[in-house]
Amino acid sequence: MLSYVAGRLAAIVALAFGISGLVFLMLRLIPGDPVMALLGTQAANPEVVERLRRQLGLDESMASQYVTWLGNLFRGDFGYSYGQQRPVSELIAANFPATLQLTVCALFLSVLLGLAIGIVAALKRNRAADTLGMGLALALMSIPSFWLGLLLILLFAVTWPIFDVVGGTGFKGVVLPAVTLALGTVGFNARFIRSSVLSAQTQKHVITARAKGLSRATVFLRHVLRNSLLPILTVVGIQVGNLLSGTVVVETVFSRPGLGRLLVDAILSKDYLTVQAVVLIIAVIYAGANFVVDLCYPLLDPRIARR
Amino acid sequence: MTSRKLPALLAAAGLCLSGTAHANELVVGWAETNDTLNPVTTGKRNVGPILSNIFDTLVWISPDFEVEPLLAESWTVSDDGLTYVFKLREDVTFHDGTPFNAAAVVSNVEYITGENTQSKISLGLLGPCAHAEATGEYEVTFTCDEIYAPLLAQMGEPYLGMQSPAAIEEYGAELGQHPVGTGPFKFVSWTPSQSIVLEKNPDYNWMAASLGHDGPAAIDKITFQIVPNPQSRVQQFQSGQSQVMQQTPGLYWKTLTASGKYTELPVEISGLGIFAPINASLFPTDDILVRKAIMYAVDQKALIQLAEAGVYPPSYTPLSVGMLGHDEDAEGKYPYDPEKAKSLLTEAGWEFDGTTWTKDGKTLSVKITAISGKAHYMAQAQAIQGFLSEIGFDAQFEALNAPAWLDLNIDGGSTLTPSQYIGVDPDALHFWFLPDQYFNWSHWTNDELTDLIYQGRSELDHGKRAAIYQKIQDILLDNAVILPIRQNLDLTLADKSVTGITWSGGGFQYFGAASIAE
Repeated sequence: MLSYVAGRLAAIVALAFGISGLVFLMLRLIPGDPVMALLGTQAANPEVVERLRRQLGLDESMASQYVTWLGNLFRGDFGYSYGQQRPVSELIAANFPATLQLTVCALFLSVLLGLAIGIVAALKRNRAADTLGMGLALALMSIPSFWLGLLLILLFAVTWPIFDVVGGTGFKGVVLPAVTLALGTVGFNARFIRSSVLSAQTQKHVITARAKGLSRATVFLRHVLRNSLLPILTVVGIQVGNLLSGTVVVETVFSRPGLGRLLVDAILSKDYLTVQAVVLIIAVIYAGANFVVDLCYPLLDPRIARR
Repeated sequence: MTSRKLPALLAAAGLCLSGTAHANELVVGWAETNDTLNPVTTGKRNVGPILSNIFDTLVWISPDFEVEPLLAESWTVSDDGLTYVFKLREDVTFHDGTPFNAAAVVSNVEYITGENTQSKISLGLLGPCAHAEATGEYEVTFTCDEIYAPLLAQMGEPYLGMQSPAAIEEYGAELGQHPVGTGPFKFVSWTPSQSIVLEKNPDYNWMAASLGHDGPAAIDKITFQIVPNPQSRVQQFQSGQSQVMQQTPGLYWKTLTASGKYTELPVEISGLGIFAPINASLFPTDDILVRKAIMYAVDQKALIQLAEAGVYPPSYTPLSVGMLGHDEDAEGKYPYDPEKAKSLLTEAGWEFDGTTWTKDGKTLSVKITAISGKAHYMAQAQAIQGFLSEIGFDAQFEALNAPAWLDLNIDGGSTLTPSQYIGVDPDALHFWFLPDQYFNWSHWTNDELTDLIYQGRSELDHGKRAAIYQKIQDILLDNAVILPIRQNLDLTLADKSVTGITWSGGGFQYFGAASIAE
């Protein structure tokens, strides 16, 4: 088990390195000089241009820029965003909690609703509830989140002003964005959970349990659900990634602060250090979430821990 | 919960939530994120209006460009035009309690010109007059290396707002997060990409006379809520969660103003309006006849109709309406005339086979670019593409991110690109038409024009200056190096209960004299 954990951790570190290098390179291959963009009309003065280039360290070779950046990173220094005139760490600190809140709320909602729809559909297989549930799942999967977001705003913030149009991090601000983000993945979860439950129901031990006279509820909770949760857990890990990338759209529609919007703004203005830091953080969160999922497997299936 | 209780509960929830904005507090739906609240280092025009509520300038410019006393009570200009002596108000203190005096002005100028400040807009506004000396406790003298006529008007732009010398000293690189001015509102907080909160400065008593407001502002608190998504901004405003909204998209402006429920504030942003420089160094627009053909082929009114629901007034000359030297008669210069455009192309040696124009084996192809994140530029560029395609141009459109767009246009790789430029003095033209300027995107210079731009700068007589800029506009239009598109307006809407919102010359929303009816 220990070597398993160590191996996974090493993989995450390697992944972070790989991604940081790739992002670093890609950013510099896209056309556009950030120094000129920062200076505006002052760029007419070559002296000023050179001075800023020196201050940003952009006069050095790409390799040495990368080494400097990595070195600073190990000291916990993400650098300074000249576009936003603040340390990158401050920008992340200001935006990360909002994204975390949104993702966690959406994940919770998505899994909860997905479980509800999926289980009902599986238990009422091939009956009206199943058709309805799966139809709903398909519909939810097909709705683009920017449209759903606008619709929800129109209904629940303009027509019936229960929530805020512009999402802050308060309760009134987070509900609509979280619902928007969650609904896109609910459909997927519901379908997946349905098939997972169905396949668990046909296992031999389930039939045995029924045969020895256990109640329907006991069989379902102890034997069916627990066995069908394992594949669902894997999906949840992947979903953290989907939800994180979904925040880009949702944060824009609801004008919420967050890493997604920070990243888009930074890419558009070629704010190198901010893009590098945010991408790195998102990659680590994604890898970290899957790592946590891996650690959960043994809890659901003790055989994995013994291996 | 029984079903009967639910509607009542929902109604109750609605009631307590709808009353979030208190009587004397204003929420403003703001369209762009800010880089900093330091007037000296900001590179974003849209930070200006927020700054003008926190900081005062030495002079106030009215929306029609009258220069009035603000922090300076009076001023004199020496006969040679090189020395400006400002007599300052003696009753002004900064928000942090630091007294405002000549030494404070000198500290500000030293900060602006400092090696490590990374001053952007403000340094340019001082021009050759970036030397200030305290010649009395409340008297400051600016000396210019050469005559600089734009100085007084530019002194009133918020980027030259006076900052507390104590704050400059204390905060260093973080000054932009701790703005301390003398304005009608004090800075409270700034949550990046979320909101900026200001509160009333209770000691304020020096508003520009033309605003007719004595004492502190009537509004207790302003929250600029950053809502870059135009649709959300509109919905926020419509649902009453903001009382003021800037940059209303054209289509919404049309429907919302038609309802008669709101106060319309079309804030005039002066300068060169919205325009597209025509690249005179790139084939085929290196030929003046091709450039003129473009001028005849584009119908400004129809373009605005297509791109922005027709809500903006068109422009036919590089200088905005109301600015010194603005040419009223330019409208007749290039009427929409596609036939004329085609005959100019024929005159230039191009042959039309019914679909494409060719000359010496080359097709008549132009590249129109726009910043990808800006919907109105993209729509304008595509409308221009449509007009040019109509007469047979092979018109390509490309959207680019801002840095790539800047690079391409500086290098002269794009034929036409919609753009804006803001200024309170017609000398703003020099950024676009003097040789070696960063923004010389026409990539075209002319000795007579260069001379005239320098003359305009050093002429202190208003009438003579106006005549010079008249000539400059003639040269630019005769050589077809700029395609004027429309006036630059910030379409601002306010709830009827809010009155007295105004703006300073240049287009900077000002809330100092505003109030909210009970």
